[in-house]
Amino acid sequence: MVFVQIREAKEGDCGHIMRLIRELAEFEKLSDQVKIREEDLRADGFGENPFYHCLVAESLPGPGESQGPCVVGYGLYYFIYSTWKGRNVYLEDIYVKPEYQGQGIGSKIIKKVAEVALDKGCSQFRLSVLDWNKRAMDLYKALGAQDLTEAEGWHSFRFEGEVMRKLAGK
Amino acid sequence: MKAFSLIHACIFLKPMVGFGFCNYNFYESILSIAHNDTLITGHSVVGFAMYYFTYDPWIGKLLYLEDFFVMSDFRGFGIGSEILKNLSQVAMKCRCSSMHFLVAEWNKPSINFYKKRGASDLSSEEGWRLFKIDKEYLLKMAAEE
Repeated sequence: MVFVQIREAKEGDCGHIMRLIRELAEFEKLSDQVKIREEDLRADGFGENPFYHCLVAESLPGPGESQGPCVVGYGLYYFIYSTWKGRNVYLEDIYVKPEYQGQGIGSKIIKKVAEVALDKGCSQFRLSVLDWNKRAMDLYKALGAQDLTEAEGWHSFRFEGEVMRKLAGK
Repeated sequence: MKAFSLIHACIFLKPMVGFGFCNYNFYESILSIAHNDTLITGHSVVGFAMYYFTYDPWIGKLLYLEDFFVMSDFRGFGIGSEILKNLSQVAMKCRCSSMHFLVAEWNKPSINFYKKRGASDLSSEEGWRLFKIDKEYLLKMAAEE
């Protein structure tokens, strides 16, 4: 039987997290869009001013098993600010390796992020889901999530790199 | 006719906590100030943009534009464009890969403003839906064994 614990990521986990980021991008059919490297993840999450926080799901070996612990999932989040609601938390990425899905690990990660959010005085938790990912949408709705794109018509927009450079006048 | 002038130079960055320029405050703001000779005080805030930094594990740091507003009497003078230019410069200085924001699908003037300047609607183009979980459900989750 596999025992999985949810803990805060350490700098040494960045290699494993990078591997899982690439797996998730492949699952979302957008793997050519992963541009950052492990060293960026380290600098941006474990430097003097972290731009994100991360939890990892780590499977622990059973008695008599020779293999060591293994990172099998992660949840990457950061704090945001709503002019209407104040402090919020945004769950940017959540992923559990397919062979470990169906055991409630994803729910445990979300629950842990919810605890952090409450601890930091946040009033809301936000995340985005792709419209074809019904399994994820069902999981989040079961936890009390509401689809704001459907309910209130909010669309995510972006000025990507080259366009932003033009706006900056560079 | 009322004497009126705009000082573009007064668009400035106001850090909320003194950690520095690109650091992790909950939010930061750009204010647009109009100078009006007829006002006793001489200056009045007529627009603002509130933003913070977010993170995309595929491309790194992003600038997230949370709120962006210019008073209706002061639109059409290029203030919005100037604020956006300023934000883009902040984003580039902080090595952000892009700028993200939300727009309500019924807000046609805003959608046109952004699309004219090269913005993409990720919800329509890639299928992203924004979800929220309110505090009462966070408390429920945290209370579960």
